[in-house]
Amino acid sequence: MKPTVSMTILFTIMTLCLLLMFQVGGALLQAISMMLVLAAVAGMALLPKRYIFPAALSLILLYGFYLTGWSVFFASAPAQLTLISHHILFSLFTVSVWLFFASFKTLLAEHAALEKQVDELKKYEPSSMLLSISEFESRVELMLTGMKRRGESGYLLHIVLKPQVYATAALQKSMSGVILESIRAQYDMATINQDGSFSVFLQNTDETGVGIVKNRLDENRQKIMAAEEPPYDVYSSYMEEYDFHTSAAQLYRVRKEA
Amino acid sequence: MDIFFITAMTFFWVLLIYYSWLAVGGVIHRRRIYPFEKLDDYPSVSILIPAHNEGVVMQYTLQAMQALEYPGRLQVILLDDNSSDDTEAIGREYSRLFSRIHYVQVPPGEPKGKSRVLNHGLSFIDTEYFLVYDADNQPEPDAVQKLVEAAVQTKKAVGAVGYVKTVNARKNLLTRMIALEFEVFQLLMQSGRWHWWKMGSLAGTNMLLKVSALEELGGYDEYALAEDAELTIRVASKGWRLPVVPEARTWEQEPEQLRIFIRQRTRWLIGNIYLLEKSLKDASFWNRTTLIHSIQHIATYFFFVVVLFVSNVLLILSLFDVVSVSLAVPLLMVWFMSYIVYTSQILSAQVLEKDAGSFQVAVGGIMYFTYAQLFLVLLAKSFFSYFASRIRKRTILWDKTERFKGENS
Repeated sequence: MKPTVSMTILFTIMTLCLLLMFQVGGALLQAISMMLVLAAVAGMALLPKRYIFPAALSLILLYGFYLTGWSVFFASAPAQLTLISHHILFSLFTVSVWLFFASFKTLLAEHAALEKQVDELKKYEPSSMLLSISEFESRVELMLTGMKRRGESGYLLHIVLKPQVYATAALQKSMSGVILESIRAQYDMATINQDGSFSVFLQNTDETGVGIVKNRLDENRQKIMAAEEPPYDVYSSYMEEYDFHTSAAQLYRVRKEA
Repeated sequence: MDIFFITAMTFFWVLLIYYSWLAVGGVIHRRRIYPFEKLDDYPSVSILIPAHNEGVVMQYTLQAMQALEYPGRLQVILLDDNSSDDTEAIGREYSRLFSRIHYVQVPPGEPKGKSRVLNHGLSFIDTEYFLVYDADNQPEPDAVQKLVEAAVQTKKAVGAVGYVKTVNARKNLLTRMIALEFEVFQLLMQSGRWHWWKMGSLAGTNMLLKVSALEELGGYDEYALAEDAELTIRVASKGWRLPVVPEARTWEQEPEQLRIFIRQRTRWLIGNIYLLEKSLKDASFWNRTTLIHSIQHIATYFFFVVVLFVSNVLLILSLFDVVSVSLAVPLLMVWFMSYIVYTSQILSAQVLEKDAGSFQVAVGGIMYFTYAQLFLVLLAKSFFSYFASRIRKRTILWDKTERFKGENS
């Protein structure tokens, strides 16, 4: 249910309860209701958030026991059904006010949390802490400019998982961890592509460095995976002309030929 | 007649006040800051997953098992109890890929059910602790670590119990109510019992136990259908403790259809009736450490049912003027307040779980008239099945809960 719909329903319930509450019972019951309604609304507005629910619940329970006591000890008490109707209306009113305030506050909190989350998601692929594809590409392009100026070389790796029937998602998650453990956190970057393969950018390295990373991948993989053969293939490509898209296209060609 | 009504009312209110007291303890326990520290050395743990035709959910379960983060030695053993679906194929693929996961085929045998399968799994593990997860469970990554930390750092503890959340809670009205029942009776009351009396009870899943403790107890009772409740009593009779750790969470599926729900709960209740019978024959159920467990058990599954049943019959008879009540006590008002107190407990659990949306609160409001009344029907059905099998001298068969596709990841 949309928050706006539920808040409208709650507001309607609150209004109806108020109207009905002052139609049921005698003057004394209505005077008590008036005081309790004021106490409930004031409590919701003034109390710190953590005390609102305990206060509302206490009010409902205490009022209930008060009405029960009245009914048990005083023969002049209103009929049981009148007292029960009154308590139901008051409880409904209090719970609706509480939910209304809570929905409003939750909406505000959710809005703030979502804004923060979106900022984070722009940078990372959420389940693995790998970079998102767009963040990966823009960071690689930025780094390549610096590398070109310094005359350094870089490599792009593609890690393609072998197909599995049931364990694809588990393998992907485990490989994310293995990759992050195997590259240099300060210098290298990794992302997961839409087809489930991984792209890794190794900055300021040569073929020896690529070999070291491949070995590290295998060592870390063996810590958690039982299979003798790695359940993935690694393709590497030298970052030519310091252009990410040219190098990526070249790497896809290498993969296709393999 | 009046005396019966007063006795019944007093009994209901004693139970209600007892549960409210537990709820208060539960709230205090749930609001605490996680009190356990990281360990220097984490003991070895085996996770046992009994499974029979669990192909619908198994890959998600094993995926969650592979994602568990535990600093010590951890192995996951899928105990396949003669599945005929693709449980084996899934288990074998995972065990081929991941060193943590092992697939074991359990040889056929009698009596059928979870206890025998668990005993088989326990016969070959070499770890200090074992942990049971049902085949549809997806524990959160830190669940095992939290259970172990609590078990190691709590005095006299031989294990720990975590919290079971419902993965398909929003599916329909039934799953919403089951989820609510778990929030109130599984976690809030369980936390309350731990808070006031340092008394935790094992759930069938997300429960950690020392292997040596279970060996000393002689393993699982293979005839117990509610093996968790039965084992709890034996653990308590030794004076051992089981801390309740709400922070160690697992997610599981609950029945989405009334038919499956009734079958599952009938099995649970038959298990509890078996335990009731056992408690009446065995003196160890009534010593200092098991007394509260046993009193609560007998009050819920025997006295409560008898009183509720007889008072329902009397109420109906009095409506037709067959019997008459001349009490001056405002019965209706007292009954109404018991509804208010019961619903307050549900509402408190919802607030604690941050699950108190408008619709959920409305569901909580009708629980008393719908879901709670089902208990009586289920218990009557279970008593009938139990005694029918006893008269025919037949073993009651284990009835596996059907699983559903979707809402697993």
